[in-house]
Amino acid sequence: MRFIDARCQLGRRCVIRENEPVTKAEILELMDRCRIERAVAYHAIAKEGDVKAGNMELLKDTEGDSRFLRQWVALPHTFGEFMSVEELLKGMKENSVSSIRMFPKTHGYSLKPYALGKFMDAMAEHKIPVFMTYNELASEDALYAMLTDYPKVNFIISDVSYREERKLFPILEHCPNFHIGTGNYVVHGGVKTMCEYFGAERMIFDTGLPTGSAAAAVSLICFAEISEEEKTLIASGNLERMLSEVEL
Amino acid sequence: MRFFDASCRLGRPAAFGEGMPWQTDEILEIMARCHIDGALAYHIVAREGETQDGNELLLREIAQIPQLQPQWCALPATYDEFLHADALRDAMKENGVRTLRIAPKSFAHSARPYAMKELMGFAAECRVPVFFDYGEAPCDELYEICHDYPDVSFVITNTAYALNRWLGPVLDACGNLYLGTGNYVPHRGLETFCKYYAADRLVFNTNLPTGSATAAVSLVCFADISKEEKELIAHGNIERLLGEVRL
Repeated sequence: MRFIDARCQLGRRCVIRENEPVTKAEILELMDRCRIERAVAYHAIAKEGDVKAGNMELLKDTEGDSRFLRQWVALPHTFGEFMSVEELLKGMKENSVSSIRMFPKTHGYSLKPYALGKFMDAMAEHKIPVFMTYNELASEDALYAMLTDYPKVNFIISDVSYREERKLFPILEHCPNFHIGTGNYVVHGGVKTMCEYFGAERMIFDTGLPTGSAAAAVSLICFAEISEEEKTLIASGNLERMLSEVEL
Repeated sequence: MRFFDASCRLGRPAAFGEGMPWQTDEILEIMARCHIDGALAYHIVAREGETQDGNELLLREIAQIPQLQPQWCALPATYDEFLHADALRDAMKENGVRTLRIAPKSFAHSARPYAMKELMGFAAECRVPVFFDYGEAPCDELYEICHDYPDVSFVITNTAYALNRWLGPVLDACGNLYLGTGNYVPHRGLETFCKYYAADRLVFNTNLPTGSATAAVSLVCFADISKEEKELIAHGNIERLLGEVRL
């Protein structure tokens, strides 16, 4: 089975743990060992430091490397500190960037339409998927508000933990644009339950490398009591379909 | 350059830091030292204790001090615990009060129209500027207040250095929002603000006695903006807002 990781971070973090993979070579070695063919990657500097500089670092780090699918971190255009929507789309097209990741809590901005409406309209129009970790949202209600404010944007919310089902399932029912990254979704029988109630189409394989365990993430899918077709969708099919729909 | 402080506080707070000036004479001495001609002042008792008593204390405290103009703290008139609009208008007119300060978080009330319609309707009709600290309605709540009451001029005070990404979209969307400069200390913050939103939206304030008046004055004096912009920030904008009040 082919795996494509929807969440991988390149570059050295400010604080690293012992034995954490840091270099691109170490990440690739882990991907090889876990049979992960490719990975959607953003840069640590774009999260922890200067967003634009981090996005540029990503381009340098992934130059000529087809195993990484480039993902840029985005900010609102407030005070001109980030690209305008038009500049962002142009930059993405020129540099083969096919998805966006956002850190509203870490980077300190609003997700409401008065602040991000124009940006999200562009994501919807160009079918660009938007990735976020669950802890970047203030609450499950904030997640619901975002999904309903922008119903035409596909969101992939990752790093949900094992205790979130009661909060997330009603949102999955109401919001077809909500997809869950499987990394750290380690509730007992969770992948199977999710497939049963909402379909495998709503799950996207990710590892959270370098902080998450790639082996655990792969095993979560490999050993799930679901069909081979469902595993294939989760492991690579859903993400590939989503990225193939991007129009830049 | 003349400075007029759009927000300072009088009275002894429940908890205060060593050396913090809290007596009115001390505040006046600092204002004189920093070339601040005048100030809008509210009373700590109105903010931390009983609102109406605090507003009365304020009037007594500044009765003989022409540099200080009264700012009343306000509540919704729920259970008649505060003045209804007509009575508030009469009382403000009688006592020369031209601005209000709200504190929805500290006073534990909603800022939405179902709860604040009467008070905000009065503020809009009489063009009374309404002040509040950013912490009383942060992030999206700030947008909601400014959006819910588009005819009220809001001056937010006590912001911080890391709020531009929150403030920018609200400033874009809401022309009735003004920013108090006290504690707005991002590097080159005033310069950037003037470039994107113009000096007309900035109002000098110190946040005395907790804020440093010298830092607040210096922030404007040493900003890399024009003399005209500094004059607007230092006193022009607040004087214009106060001049528009119709009680």
